[in-house]
Amino acid sequence: MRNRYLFIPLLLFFICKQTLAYGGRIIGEYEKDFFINSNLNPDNLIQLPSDKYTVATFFEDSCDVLNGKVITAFKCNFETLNGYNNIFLTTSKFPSYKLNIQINEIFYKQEFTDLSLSLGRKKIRWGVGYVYSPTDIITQIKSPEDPIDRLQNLQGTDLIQLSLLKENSQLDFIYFPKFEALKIINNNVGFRFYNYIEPYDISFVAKYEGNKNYTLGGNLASTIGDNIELHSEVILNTFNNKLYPNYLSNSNQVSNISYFTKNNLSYELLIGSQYTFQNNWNLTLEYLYFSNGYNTGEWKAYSDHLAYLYKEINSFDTIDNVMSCYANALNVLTFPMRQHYCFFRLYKNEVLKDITLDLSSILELTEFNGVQNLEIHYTMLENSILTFRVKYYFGNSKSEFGLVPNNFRSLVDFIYYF
Amino acid sequence: MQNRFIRILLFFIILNLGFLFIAKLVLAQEINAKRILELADKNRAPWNNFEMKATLLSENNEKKSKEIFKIFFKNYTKTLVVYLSPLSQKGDLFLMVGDTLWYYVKDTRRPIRISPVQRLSDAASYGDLSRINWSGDYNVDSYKEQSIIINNTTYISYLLELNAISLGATYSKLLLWVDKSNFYPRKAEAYLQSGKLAKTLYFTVFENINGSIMNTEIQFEDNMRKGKKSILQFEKINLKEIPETYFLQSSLPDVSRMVSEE
Repeated sequence: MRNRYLFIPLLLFFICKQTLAYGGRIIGEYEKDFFINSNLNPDNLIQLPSDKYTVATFFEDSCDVLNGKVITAFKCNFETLNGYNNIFLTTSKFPSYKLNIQINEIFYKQEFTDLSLSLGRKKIRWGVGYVYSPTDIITQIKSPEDPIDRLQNLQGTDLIQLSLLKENSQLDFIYFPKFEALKIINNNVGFRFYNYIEPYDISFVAKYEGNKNYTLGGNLASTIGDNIELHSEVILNTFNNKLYPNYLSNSNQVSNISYFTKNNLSYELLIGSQYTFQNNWNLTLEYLYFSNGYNTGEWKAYSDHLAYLYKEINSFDTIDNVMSCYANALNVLTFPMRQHYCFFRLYKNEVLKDITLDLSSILELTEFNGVQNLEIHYTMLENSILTFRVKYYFGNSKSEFGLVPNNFRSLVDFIYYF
Repeated sequence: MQNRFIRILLFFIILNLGFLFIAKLVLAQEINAKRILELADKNRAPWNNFEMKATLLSENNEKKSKEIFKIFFKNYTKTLVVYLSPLSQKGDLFLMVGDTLWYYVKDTRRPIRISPVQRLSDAASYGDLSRINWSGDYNVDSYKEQSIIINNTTYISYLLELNAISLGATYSKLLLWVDKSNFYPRKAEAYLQSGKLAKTLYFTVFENINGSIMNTEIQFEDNMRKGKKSILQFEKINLKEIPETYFLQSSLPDVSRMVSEE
């Protein structure tokens, strides 16, 4: 029954292919995950699928309207998910499906001599980092595991952007209110000043959120000789929304942990470099620091709490109680949990005929755990690419990446560009 | 005593005249060589503001590929290259301003710095598309007359030895053969910093466009990877004022969407 929905993205593809000026792509993807019994997900409590089929179609278009342009980007995504869990000695299957049509961007852009105006939903990407950009403060990709947002899950920001452009500099003002039920609940404003002073790219960014949160930062990029590129970013926030375990008062009570916010200043730092070898291998290295990441004591309290839940799962009366405890713990689990990270990437186009190789790692440096990612892209025909991906999470069972339950993921996808 | 003084004076006068004569000869040679290079440049890019379409046909042993670009030039030092084909790269672009080259991948929405010598496709480099200003990038170290034979045609040429003076130069050293009769560039050998011969370029087609002669086809032979060849063809050349915003790194995400239609 549900498989009939697979045809919706395909149908849209055939209709829109005829009418759109710009183009897009269609992706067919199969993902197979392998599980460990992680402290975070005993017996697959949180119902992660082991098999996932996805068909997604992305459309992009631009058309001339009133001396300006209307630019749109939307996607239609259909997924079928299969898996099982066996909580309380009961094994249950949970096949499910999701159909999602999402408008990622739709905005009107008008250009004058030195000015440009954009109005609508638009992705704003600032920063110079590869894996993560602290100064990307308007439409930020939070997950460093997929820096290019392969399935275009990220939606743009609803905004009014005014840009003043000069020969070597650009000044951007962005008004991006936060809506709730079509009502503005926060008036947010962003600002960037970019300047190119050979050989440096320099940007200063700032943001004010209506709830009296301020953000201030900058980034810098340059090259040395023919082969080395250097970049750095820093950002200072007057707020810190991260939830911390209350381990000082309840250090022995891992069963009943509570969370609090520190409401202090926080800052993020990125330092990176790229080196291109003469045979075109490209090496990228980045170091990231988050002042609001958990320290050793906070992380121990958090991971001990998860270990306690895992050990005592059968002592709970009902699954609802278990779920409630896990929901609280999962609620705080967002990247970055710790303070020191390192990113490494080795890339080569045409490593063999029609084959591109992309090998990357993210490491958490305090406990040396991380994720290893291997991608092989094969250009099959002129407009289609076949990709194999393998992702492996490693680390001890109480480390950040060691907690990931589906620690080995394999994926094959086929992309056709039109 | 007086005679000795006169002899010494004469000796210095003759010596100075000799120096002057040699200096004048060297200067004349430099001016001529520089002028030859400027005239060769003019036959590659006769205008300082124009756009064109470029097709890059590449051959790697038996495999053939085709890439299409739209290129915008401004004031000889600013170039924007937009991918139109293959579709998987449509909207990607690279921008060169002065000595700096950025590569923008549409999906990442962030420009990154790269080096001009990085390979674009088989035998061609990014700098081969984005850099058309030899006289700004290279110094003429020496020149002489030399005949070359290309496709059974003999060209009486100037052979110029060029060494890079700008960080934006694609190659460390170039040997350039410029036709003596019309100052068309005919052949170039491109060398890397290591001294290795990287590739050979043949400037094969020249056309009259809007009253000016322009080179519209370059053939590349890769000397480091045997069997790799590329042909770069220029067409749809349009003289127009290109907006300054096209050459600003921070505006590339927007520019990508505005100009990547054929």
